[in-house]
Amino acid sequence: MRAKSAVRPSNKKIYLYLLPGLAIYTFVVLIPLFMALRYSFYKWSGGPNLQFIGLDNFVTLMQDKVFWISFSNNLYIIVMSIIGQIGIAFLISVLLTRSWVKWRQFHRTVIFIPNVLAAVIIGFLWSMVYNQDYGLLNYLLKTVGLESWISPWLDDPNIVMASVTVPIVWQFIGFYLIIFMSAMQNISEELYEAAKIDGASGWKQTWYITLPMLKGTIKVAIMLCIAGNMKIFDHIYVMTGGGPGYSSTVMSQYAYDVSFDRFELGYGSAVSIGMLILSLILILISQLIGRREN
Amino acid sequence: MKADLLKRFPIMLGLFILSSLLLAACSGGEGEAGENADGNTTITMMHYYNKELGEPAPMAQLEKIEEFEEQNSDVIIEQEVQSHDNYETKVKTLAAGNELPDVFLIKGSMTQQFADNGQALLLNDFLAEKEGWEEQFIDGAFTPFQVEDEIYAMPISGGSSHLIYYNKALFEEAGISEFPSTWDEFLGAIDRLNESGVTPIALGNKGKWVLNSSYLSTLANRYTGSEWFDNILAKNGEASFTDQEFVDALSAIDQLANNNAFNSNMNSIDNSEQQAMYMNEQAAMFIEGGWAAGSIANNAPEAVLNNTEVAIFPEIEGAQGEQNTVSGGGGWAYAINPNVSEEKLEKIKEFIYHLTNQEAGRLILEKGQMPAVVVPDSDEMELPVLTRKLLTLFEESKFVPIYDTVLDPALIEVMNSNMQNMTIDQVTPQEAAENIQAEYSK
Repeated sequence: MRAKSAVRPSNKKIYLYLLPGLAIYTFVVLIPLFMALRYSFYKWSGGPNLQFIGLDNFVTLMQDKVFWISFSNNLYIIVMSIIGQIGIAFLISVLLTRSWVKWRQFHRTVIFIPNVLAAVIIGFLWSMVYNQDYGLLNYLLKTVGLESWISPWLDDPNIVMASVTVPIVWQFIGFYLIIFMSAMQNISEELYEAAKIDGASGWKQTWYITLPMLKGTIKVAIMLCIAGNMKIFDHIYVMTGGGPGYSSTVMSQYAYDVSFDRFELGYGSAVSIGMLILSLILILISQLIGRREN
Repeated sequence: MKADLLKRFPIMLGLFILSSLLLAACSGGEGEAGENADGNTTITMMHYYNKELGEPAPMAQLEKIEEFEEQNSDVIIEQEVQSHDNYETKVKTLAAGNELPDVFLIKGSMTQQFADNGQALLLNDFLAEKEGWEEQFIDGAFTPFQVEDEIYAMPISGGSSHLIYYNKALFEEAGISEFPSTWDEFLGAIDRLNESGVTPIALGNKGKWVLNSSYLSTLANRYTGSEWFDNILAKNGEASFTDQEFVDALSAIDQLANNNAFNSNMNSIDNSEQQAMYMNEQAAMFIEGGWAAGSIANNAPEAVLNNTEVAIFPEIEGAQGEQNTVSGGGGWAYAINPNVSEEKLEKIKEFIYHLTNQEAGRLILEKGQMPAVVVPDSDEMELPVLTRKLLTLFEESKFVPIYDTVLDPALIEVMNSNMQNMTIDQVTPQEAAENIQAEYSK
């Protein structure tokens, strides 16, 4: 029997309350998505002339070398972010739960600050850091006598991906830190006390208690990480514009280039749809792996 | 009473959402009315003129806009200013969404696009309205903005997109007394400059267009001759980008990169930073269009300005084209939104005439750039030294098309990216040519 309490509103009301959010979401996400899907079947350069070409854009996309280069660049950022963001955030949150750490609140705030900055600002900030002549990084290397390490950080195709990934990792550590810390606070203190009595040292507690208890949270974090980094754009657009050549082009940058530099908006939509499909596949895979482990 | 309110609340909420969605959908069409209650006409305009950069034609145009506003108190010019690199993106995006301002700048490569989509007003009649106006423009000024004899935009400035600005003093320090007259000597000079410890050529190719506009358009013509390019434009199958002559031109640029002619951060700085390198005497040369003369004249330290000379690429031994050519002609031009009202159009026409007539041209020349119109008695005018040097240089050379003002935007994008890839050894000149050809034959 369903209890009809005074606190719980009727289903109809719940739907009505959801309506504004849903309407906005439909307007800014769903409709553009279906429009992009529609445009991806056309040869279109903006304006009134649309020419239906069926699946041609997708056939081209499958053979487009640059698209796959940019996909592999996305994968690189995802892998580095899972290791960098989630890994480092986990370590720091373990440290911050230790009783001997002073100024916990301060550390947490400082680590979280980059998160609230706009990606464009982060991009500009780090292009200044990387600047060859006036940049902070080369200046630091010079002062500590490591002049041989100085390189054109955003110009060498072999290191440019690493250079653009560092700011991305740096920015979002705080985000996962907050998630992990709140999850850790939910782990019962008794578990640790029991472990202490059994003689489990600090890192053993982390390995046998904290990590398994956080499994669900980590899975969500990895999914957020994949979803977030598949659509990464602003940082790279500001720092390198995808260059030199295509060596730091990511999928959204490529979609942008195709749409607004080449003015091939139909094909650009196809690139975006390709991006969406690949993202869904990756998230599905990560979910399947997570399930098998269980 | 309360229950009544609660019942109505969802309906009101629904109405609110609906109206806000409608408002959002309508906001694009706002401002179409043109004339407001006071009888003033508002003309919206988008451009990339930036006072800070001190480039001659933009400075001159800004002055002219202000002057027009003073003379016509019933007209308000609402300007939206973008940076040069962003402008192109913005105007294309607005075009895709059909939200163009009343007056905007286009470059030659966009003409076909805007004409096909009916987003630029035909200007033939407008030109004919003013007696003898069309004849005042320099030869070929309209070519990039024409589709089958129909003119879609009014050019502002002409001039070249390729010029070598070099520092005489730095050349002398490296033991070079005269600007090289052949390509081999040019390469030799680069080696000597490298030995003397300065960067031979400052290059800021982050925007990707510099190598194409200011280097390749001139260099390739020397190798291929003009007929080859005409065939490319006509798409008649008699010329292709994999032809040896074009590959040779790409190789020449590749050779410069391999001989350390450029600074190592060339792909992460932009063209204003390349000028800065030159002005700080970190580099002995930089290669950019005539527009840069103004910023050098305005911003360079006295010593650098006095030592600055201009040249063009030297003769290339064994190349088949003419050897005194410079890429140039019309750069950007004003287009008018076809959806403006009759009355507003009259004002806009006056405005455009004000910006592109011989008076405006004279001002551009005074500031140091070549206008798109012939300026009478320019010999007697008092001109900046650098401008005078440019005028002399152009008397001896011949203009050939600038690639990125006439070729299709998609092709340009592929060309630009491939050239950037070439400078960092990701592709060979041959492969770059094949990639360009693949896009061309699509």
